[in-house]
Amino acid sequence: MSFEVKNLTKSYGEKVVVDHLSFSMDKPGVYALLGTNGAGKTTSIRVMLGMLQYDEGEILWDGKPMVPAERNIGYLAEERGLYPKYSLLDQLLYFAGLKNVPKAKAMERIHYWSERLKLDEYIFPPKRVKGQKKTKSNRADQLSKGNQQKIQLMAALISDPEILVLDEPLSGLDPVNADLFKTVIREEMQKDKYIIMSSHQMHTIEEFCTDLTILNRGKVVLQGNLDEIKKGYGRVNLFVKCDEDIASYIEKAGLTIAEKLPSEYHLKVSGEEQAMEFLQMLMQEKVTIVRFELREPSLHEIFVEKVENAGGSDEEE
Amino acid sequence: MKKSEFRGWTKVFSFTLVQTIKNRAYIIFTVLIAALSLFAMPILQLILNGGDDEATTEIKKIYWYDDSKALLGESFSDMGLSFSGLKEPYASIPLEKTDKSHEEMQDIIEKDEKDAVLARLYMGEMGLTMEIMRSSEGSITEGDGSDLAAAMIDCIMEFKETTAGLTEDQKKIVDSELELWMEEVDEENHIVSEEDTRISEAQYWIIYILLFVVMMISILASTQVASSIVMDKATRVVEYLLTSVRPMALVTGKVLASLLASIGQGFAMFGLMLLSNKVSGMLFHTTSPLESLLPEGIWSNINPLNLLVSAIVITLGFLFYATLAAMCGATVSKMEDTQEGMTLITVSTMIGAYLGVIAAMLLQSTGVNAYVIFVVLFPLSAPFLLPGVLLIGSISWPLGFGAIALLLLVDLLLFYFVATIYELLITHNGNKIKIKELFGIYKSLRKNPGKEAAR
Repeated sequence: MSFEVKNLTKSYGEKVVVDHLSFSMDKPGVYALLGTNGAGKTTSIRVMLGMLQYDEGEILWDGKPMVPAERNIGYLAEERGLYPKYSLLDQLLYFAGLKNVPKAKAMERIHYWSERLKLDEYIFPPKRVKGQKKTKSNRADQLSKGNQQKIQLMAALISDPEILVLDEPLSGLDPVNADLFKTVIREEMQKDKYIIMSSHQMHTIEEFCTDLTILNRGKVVLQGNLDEIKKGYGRVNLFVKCDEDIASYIEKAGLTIAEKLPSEYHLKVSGEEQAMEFLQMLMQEKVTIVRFELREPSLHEIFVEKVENAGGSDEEE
Repeated sequence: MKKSEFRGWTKVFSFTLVQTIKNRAYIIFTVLIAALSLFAMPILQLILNGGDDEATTEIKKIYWYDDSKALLGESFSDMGLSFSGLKEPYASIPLEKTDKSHEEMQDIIEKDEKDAVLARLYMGEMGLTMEIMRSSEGSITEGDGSDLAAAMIDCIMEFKETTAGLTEDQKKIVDSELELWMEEVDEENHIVSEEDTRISEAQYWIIYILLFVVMMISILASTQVASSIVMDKATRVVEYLLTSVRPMALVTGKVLASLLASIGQGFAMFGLMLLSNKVSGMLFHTTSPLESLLPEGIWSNINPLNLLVSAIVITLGFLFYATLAAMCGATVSKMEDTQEGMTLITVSTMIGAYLGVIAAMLLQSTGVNAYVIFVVLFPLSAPFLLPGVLLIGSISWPLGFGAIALLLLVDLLLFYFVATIYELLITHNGNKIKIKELFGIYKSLRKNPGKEAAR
């Protein structure tokens, strides 16, 4: 199976929101769509899911035009939504029904996920006993934001989808719930799902994704395998932390200071050789080294560089 | 429009219907109108006859002074009028003819006999007049006096016809309403006259009641459709729904569910009202309130064919307004803007209903004319007037079927228009889209329809 997007273009009037986006997933995994606000990520996702029409291009599943309604796709939208006044169970059964999940199977999965995500008491609140205080409500408007997001995740997973689209899955979550979501995503990865993830949180993307596309103003500014992209940049970031100020040694070695942190320097080097020469210099001078780390640029740094080189972000979409 | 556009509408329909029926506001409203319908008839009955099986009166004595001689040369009493046929409760009250002057009687009634009245027949400025004099401090009400006057006038009318030697059949003819009929004669002396297309009062009431019912259900259903769509948008649930169903399936399910819920309310209301009417009649051992209020022969022209055609028109009308509501609902993105989005529906419904009421009035007074034909054909008013006029058969079948065909065509065009722009509307998130902007969107989408993910 493979999922492929070819030359996808979408405009609103004169404004091109997605400009010839192409990428493919030849095997299960996590593909990242990155971009600033208004870069065209959500629009691309909406087009892929069949919510919006598009002007040009193709969306293929296993080499054939994809019929979103016929594929089992789970979707966690960026703008999360639940009916505030309806029962959570009713809503989940409705969403499952729309995905053609039989009611018995849907109930089984709701029980599984509600236990897994610790939502039992909200989805199946115990019946009120006469004389006792009101039990917990089973309505969405009574839930915390984190719990509402968990319900959304349940809705996305209730059909046990083959393709999972996660638009900003961890935004607004507290660290405990973020870890819970990460665990669930990892489990889904292990089940050989095709996962498309969009996020502003670069460390999350680095944690999960092998391949990515960075969009800016609808255009692709960087695309490929994350490891290869990083290798292409080389190990040019040197982080040095010492007990004493090393400004004079940096100047002597002719290194560029990228950022000066409290008692730590982020330096730019031409490669491993220059970094080693600098290390030898510090050792010869008997400087106590607390940290000496030479690494590739982070995804965050690559992202910022690419977006800035492409002329900055466009907040309006 | 492909069949796949509607895939999944039944699931949207059943969920929307169940949630609407479970909604607290819907339950409260339904219970309220059910209670109103149930108690409306007994209350009406109480108002109509004061809550008693038999009407009562506080009048204990009637003095009768006949001053009609001045007009007729011979008074009614001289001719034999005795009020022997006076209906209850006045028949059993002592009636005494008096020759005392007006001032003397005034004194008696004001001071001594406060529970007596003086009924005086005299020649007034407008002709023969029946005057009732009662004490201002007694228990006799103005309504009591009026009822007595009406009963006495009935007796006088009956006496006049009997004295004139009329048979019962002749009396019916004399009592029937006078109608105006004009004829024109052409150059060859042939009478050129148009068919009398005027409707009776009973038929007017059928049109009026049906118009009111259709308008009420239409407003209820439209509001529910629009609110339901705005809620999907405002809560962002629509994003999730659109991964499984197309916008047209969504709108179809919502429109039909809201219609069914509103029609259910309407049927419950009228069913309970009819039940209440029947029970009320049995309870008070008298004619039911509806029988008392509605003119005779109101159902005489109604047959199964008329009923079927009217039901089709009502359905088409509901679909017209519900589709319009779906479009209006999709133009807004926040719950608080729903009312603003509904302005078009409210104004259209009001215009349509008022045009219909005026046409019904004209139908009663002058018959079918150019205005009535316009209202029958005009899509905003047709859903309100057409069911009634078809039910009583007051317009020709060609005109009726023409109007139905036009309404069907307008429904299809509106549905196509909404279908074209709906996808963009339902994913729109921001300020309310103005009506004129909708036409701009439609034009641009027609020009550049775009591709869809394969269906």
